[in-house]
Amino acid sequence: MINTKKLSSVGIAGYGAYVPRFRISVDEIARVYEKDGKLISRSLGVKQKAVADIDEDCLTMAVEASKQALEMAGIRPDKIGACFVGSESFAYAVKPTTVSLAQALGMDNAYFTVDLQFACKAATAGIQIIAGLLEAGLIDYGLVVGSDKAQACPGDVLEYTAGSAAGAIILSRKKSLWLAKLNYIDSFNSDTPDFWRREGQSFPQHAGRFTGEPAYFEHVVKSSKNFLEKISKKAEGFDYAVFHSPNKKFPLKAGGMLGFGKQQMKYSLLVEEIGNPYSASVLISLANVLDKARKNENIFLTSYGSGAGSDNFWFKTTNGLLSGRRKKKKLEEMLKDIKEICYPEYLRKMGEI
Amino acid sequence: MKITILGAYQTKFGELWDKSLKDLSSEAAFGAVEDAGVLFKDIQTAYFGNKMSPQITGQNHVGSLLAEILGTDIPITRIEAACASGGSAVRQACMAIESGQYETALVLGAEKMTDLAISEISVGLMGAASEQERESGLSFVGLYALMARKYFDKYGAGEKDLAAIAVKNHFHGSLNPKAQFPFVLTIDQVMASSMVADPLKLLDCSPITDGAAGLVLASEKYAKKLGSKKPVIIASKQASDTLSLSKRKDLTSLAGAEKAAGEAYRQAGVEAKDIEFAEVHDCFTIAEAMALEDLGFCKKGEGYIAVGKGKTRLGGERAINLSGGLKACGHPVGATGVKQLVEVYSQMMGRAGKRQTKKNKLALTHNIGGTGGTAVVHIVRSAKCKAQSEKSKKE
Amino acid sequence: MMMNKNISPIKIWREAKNQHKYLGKTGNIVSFTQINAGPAGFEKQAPYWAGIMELQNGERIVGQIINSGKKPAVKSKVIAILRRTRESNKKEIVQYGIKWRIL
Repeated sequence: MINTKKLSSVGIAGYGAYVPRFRISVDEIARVYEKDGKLISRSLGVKQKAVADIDEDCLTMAVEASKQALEMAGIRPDKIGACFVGSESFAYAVKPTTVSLAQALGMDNAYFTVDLQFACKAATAGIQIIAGLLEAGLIDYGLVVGSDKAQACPGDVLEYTAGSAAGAIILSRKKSLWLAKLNYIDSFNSDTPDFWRREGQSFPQHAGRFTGEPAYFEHVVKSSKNFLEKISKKAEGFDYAVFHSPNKKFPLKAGGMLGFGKQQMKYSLLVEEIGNPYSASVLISLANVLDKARKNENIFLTSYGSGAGSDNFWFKTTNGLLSGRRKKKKLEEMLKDIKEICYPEYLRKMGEI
Repeated sequence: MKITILGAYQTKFGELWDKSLKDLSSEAAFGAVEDAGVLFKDIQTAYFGNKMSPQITGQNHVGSLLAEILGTDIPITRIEAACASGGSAVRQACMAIESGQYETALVLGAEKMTDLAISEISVGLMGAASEQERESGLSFVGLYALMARKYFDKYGAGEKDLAAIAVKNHFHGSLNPKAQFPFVLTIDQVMASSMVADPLKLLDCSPITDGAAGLVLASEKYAKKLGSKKPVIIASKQASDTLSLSKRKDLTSLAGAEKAAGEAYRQAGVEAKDIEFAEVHDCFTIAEAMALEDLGFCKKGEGYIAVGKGKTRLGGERAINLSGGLKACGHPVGATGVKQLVEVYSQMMGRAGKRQTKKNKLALTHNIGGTGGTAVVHIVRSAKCKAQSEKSKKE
Repeated sequence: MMMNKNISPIKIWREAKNQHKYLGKTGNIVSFTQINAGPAGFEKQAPYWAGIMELQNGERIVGQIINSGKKPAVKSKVIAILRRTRESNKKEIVQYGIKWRIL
């Protein structure tokens, strides 16, 4: 059981989003397996996915996104008191990525840290841990990153969407730095074997159609319904809604079931252009929403991690959003610089050949 | 300085699959001593130039290996200065004789490179570069390519100008039975070869080679006793420069080579214009263009122009790399600096066959380690040479 | 346990400590080349660009220039980023280093 408590000391001081510039289209992948790319693309609602380069990985992308967040927050790295990275594609099964990230950013040695794993919701769990540390007054700043160079077995349907990206958020208890305040959080979990990857295996497995209704929708919709009740709000009360997007169909359907419309979700469906970068997915969407939002607007966010669980968030942008949002380039702008690659190039960049 | 070259020998250079480092060293040592007309027991000390034996063959302590080959207990020292290992070994021998401690010295340069794959040899060669250069994935060709780009930008030279250097060296090499590549090349062939690190193509680069070379050196006094009328080393100078290219002031010239050359000219009491032929370190074609300038044979930026005009070809104003250079004769790294002097000796003794130059009285050798971190210059005069100033008589 | 001298964890640890000083710094390309034949440890990544960069403070550094869609040129402005460097096998530690992105 989780207590319903309005948070008083948690807000976003900075955010960053890094999406590698390479793209492989659903068409191109389908062509290799002699499938109908147009049909698949339509059914998934996905056109292409982002692919990290041969020398990029979870850590390197985390550094890119974190540096953006740090610059926006305008703080010294040694002020950060907690550092969490959520991923399904850490370079190591044993050896933390967070400490390498911390060192690369110039943090000192005093911070709470651990690598997090809960499929695509690892990073959002990290936000919630940091929220607790901030509320307790143990830290003033916390960094959370979701970063994945997502692997998918060649020929498997996941291959069309498993992408690469990293999203970073710096949370703080310093109200003057807040671009958005975090009002409430919640979480809903169960033991649901919809998608998994065993130790030592390169690629994940999934349970086909079971990943839909009993997995994604069960957790996303139920948890969101419960959350809305707890915080006494209705879908119409939010300006934006962000749902984890394994494809475009699922979030739109879930949103619809909860009363959210396409207008509210227009900035959080980047999956069509960049695919599903697993634990970076909601953070990238959130970054896009924050890039476009105005002051005093409400953001509803529900993540989903296979295995399974959902984390819920209610953010409200502050008066300080526009001035605090000192970004050099908006995510939308950055997503314009892309390079299309073919299937063998994709395999090479993923280290599979 | 007056160090007589009593004997000299070079093995065939090439991919010598059935010859080990020991075989090559043996052949060169015996060859040089036989040519000198002395006995092994007459050799009082030895210096062995070798860059990569520990990495490639696992053999350190090659001084002791040579002692085993020669059946001797004289002091033998391995010298390593990347691709200037051979030249530096010669210099050590010259200093040992000059010191008065020894009257004779054997200098050996040897390298066995073909036992490993090219990518691994590339790593070995990068041992001559800096840590940062290694970690950035640069290859040796890449380092010289960085210099070539600056040279092109500064002086308006192009790939074809460098190709002419390879063509000229192959012409010389085609006349050298010991060369790895005893055949001619055309400009078109060089230009059509694959790009290794732009702007340097495969045929701009010296090859991976096995080979050895040996010299027997003697003091003036010892040589007189034998009644020897052989070529004499009248200058031996070495200079250093930064290991890292990023710490150099000028990327279009090797400051170490300039310094060593200047000091060598002073020591010999001669000037650049007096040099009749030279063996220079053309690990890549760009290196030869820069060498001509660093040695004072051409003004800065005109090295490649001189080549284009045929001035450095056999029969030209000043023949460069009559052996075929590193490009056509081959570049067994530790052996090159010694081989350069073997070539000078052959030319001065009139034994160079089809590649014999008539202008063979005063010569210079230029041996470079890495991207110029070490530079060794020797000046040699033939027994017939009268071009000696008061200065050189005193030194 | 045999340690590859190039992928020594200790050497990597020592070198990684200073990377944060360079990350995010900008500079200009002094010279560059495209390596088509990489030495062992970099073979699979070839072709790649490498060059000498000069930082604002005059310091010169050698490093790889990543594929950013822009062709390198002398004087191009670059920024330091973190990327994997030497290839390692499944058992070895992963090596990261400073590479350069053309702005």
